[in-house]
Amino acid sequence: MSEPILSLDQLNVRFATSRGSVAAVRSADLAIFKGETLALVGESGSGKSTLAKALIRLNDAPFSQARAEISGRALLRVGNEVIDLVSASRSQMRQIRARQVAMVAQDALSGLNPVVRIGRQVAEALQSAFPGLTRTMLDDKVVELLDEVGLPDPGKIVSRFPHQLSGGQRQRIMIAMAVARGPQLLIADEPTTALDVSVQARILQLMKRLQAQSGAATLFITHDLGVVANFADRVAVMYAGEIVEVAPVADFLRQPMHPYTAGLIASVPGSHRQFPRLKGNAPDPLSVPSGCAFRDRCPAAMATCEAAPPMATPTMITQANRQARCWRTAA
Amino acid sequence: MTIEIRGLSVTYPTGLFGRGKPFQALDDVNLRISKGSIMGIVGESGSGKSTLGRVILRLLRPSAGQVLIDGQDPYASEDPGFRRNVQAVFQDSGASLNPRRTVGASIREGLDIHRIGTPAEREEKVVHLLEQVGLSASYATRMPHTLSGGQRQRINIARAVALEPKVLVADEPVSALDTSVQAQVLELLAGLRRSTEMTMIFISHDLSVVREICDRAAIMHRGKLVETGAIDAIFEHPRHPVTQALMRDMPRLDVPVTLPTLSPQPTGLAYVS
Repeated sequence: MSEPILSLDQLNVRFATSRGSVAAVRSADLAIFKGETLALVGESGSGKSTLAKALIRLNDAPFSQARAEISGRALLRVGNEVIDLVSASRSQMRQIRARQVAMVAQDALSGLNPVVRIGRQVAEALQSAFPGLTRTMLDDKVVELLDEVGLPDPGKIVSRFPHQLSGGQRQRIMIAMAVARGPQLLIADEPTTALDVSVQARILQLMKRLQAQSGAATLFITHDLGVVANFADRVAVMYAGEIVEVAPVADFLRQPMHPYTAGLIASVPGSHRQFPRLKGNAPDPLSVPSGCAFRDRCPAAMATCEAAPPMATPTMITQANRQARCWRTAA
Repeated sequence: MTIEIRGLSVTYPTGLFGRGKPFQALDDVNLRISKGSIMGIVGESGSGKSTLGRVILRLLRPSAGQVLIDGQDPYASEDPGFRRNVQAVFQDSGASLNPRRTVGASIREGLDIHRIGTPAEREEKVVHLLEQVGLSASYATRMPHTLSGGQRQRINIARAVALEPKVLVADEPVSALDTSVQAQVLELLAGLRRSTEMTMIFISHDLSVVREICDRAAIMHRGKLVETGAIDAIFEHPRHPVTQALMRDMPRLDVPVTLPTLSPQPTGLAYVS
C-alpha cells in the first residue's frame, strides 16, 4: 500500500476542566491514504470531533478557551516532507490550514461571516492559498468554483450574503472554500447532518465527484451509518475516546468485530436483531472505567476485560487491514 | 381517541405588515388516525408536518377545516380537559424542561395542576413514571442540565404521559439523539403504546425511524398530503414521486449484515455466515 497522507501514532488529547482532567482522545492510531474516504463514526461525546480538531489544532488558543494538551504524533506528508501536526509551530500550522488540510463543519452559517458577501469570502480563501493571484483572475476563479460545486447562477451568488442562501447552498459554499486550496486532506465534520435527505444526497455526490478529481483524502465524521455505507471506503469507530475498530466499509458492515460496533449497527432502525442493541449510556468522560471502556455495556464482557485495556491488534479473522480493540477478537 | 382531519388549511402572512402573498403551510389536508395507532407524518423541512402537529395540539388555529378528536373540535368546544388528553414531546429535549426546576417537579406539574391524587400519591406516581421510562427514582431530584439528551427526552416522555393522555404528538422526538439512544427511546414509545392504547402522531423527516415504530404514514410536500398508507405498503410500493424520492435519498444499510453471535468461550466472537 502507498504511504499514508496522515498517520496518527498514539495521539492523546486531554482537557483540564473544573471537575478534573478529561482524556477526550486516548492512544489513537490511524492512517489515512490518498484518495480514500475514511469515515470516523461514534456517538456524541466519543471524541471524534475532538480528534479532528486536534489535527488542525483548533483546540489551541486563541480558537478555544479550554486549552487542549495534545501528545503523541500526527504525521502529515507534504510532498517529500513530513510534518508532525502535534509539534508544528503556529506559523507552520497557518500554512497547513491554508493549503494542506481543509475543514467543512456541520454548521455552515457559523463558518461564514454574516456581513461579508459570498464572493469576497471565497476569494479570501483562495488568496490565503495562492497569494499571487490578480484581482481579475481571483474573480474568475471564484465564479468557476461556485459553478464547480453546482450552485446555480454563480455570477449572482457572489454578491449575496450568507443569510440569503439555503442550508444546502451554504454547505456548497463551504465546500467550495475548502476545495479552493487544493487540500490533500479534507476534514468534513457532519457536513450533511443538518440537511434534508435529498440535499444530503446531492452534497455527498458533489463531495465524491470533487474527490475523484483531486485525489485528496477525506476524513468524514458522522454518526449516520447509512451515510457511511454509501460514502466511505474505510471506517474507524470511536467509543469513549478510543478508536475501537478500523475496517474497510464492506467488512465493517458485514462482519463487525467489536461488540460495540455490532451493537451500534443493530441499533440502526430497520436493521435485524441478531445482536443485542446497545443498552445504557456511554461513560462519563471524567470516570471512564478501568480496563476496556465498553465492558459495562458489553454483552460479551469477560474477566479479562476488567484487567487492562485491550490494544488494537490486527486480527486473523479477515485481512490484515482490520483492527479491533477487543479481547475477544484479539484471542 | 380517533383523530379526523378534514380540509385543514393554514396560511401564514408574509412580508412587511403581512402585505406579501400569504404562505400556505397546510393546503386542504384530510387524514384519519384510528384509536391506538401510530401515524407517521413524514416530509422535508418546510413541508408542513410540524404545522399539522401544532394544529392538532391546539397551538395554532387553522385558517380553514377542522381537527376532530373523537368527534369534538377542540377549537369549537374549548374543552378544559383537552390538555390532559392531548400531550406533546418535541425535538429539543432541553428547551422543553424548565432549567430551574428538578425533573421530578417538571413531571409532577401536570398532576399538581389537575389535582390528581394526594401530594404523596403524586410523588409515588413520579417514581413510577421514572421507572417506566427506564430511569431510577434518584433522577427526580436532578436538574435538567445534568442529564444527557436521551435522558432528558425520557423525562419529557414521562412528563407527557403523566396525565395518561389519549393522544401524544411527538415532533421529531429522536432526531437529536444518537443511534443507540434513538433505538432505546423508540422502544420506550412503542412499549407505552402497547400498554396504554395511546393514539400517537409521530412527526419525522427520517423514513427509517418511521418504519421502525409507525403503523401507517402520511407523506407531506409543500403543505399537501401526497400519499397515505400502511407503512409496509409505502416502503414496498411508494406511489407518489415525492415518496419515491425520499426513499431513494434515504441513506440505508443495504448490505446483509452478519452480526456476531456470542459464543460462551472467550476465544473471540463467532460469526454466522
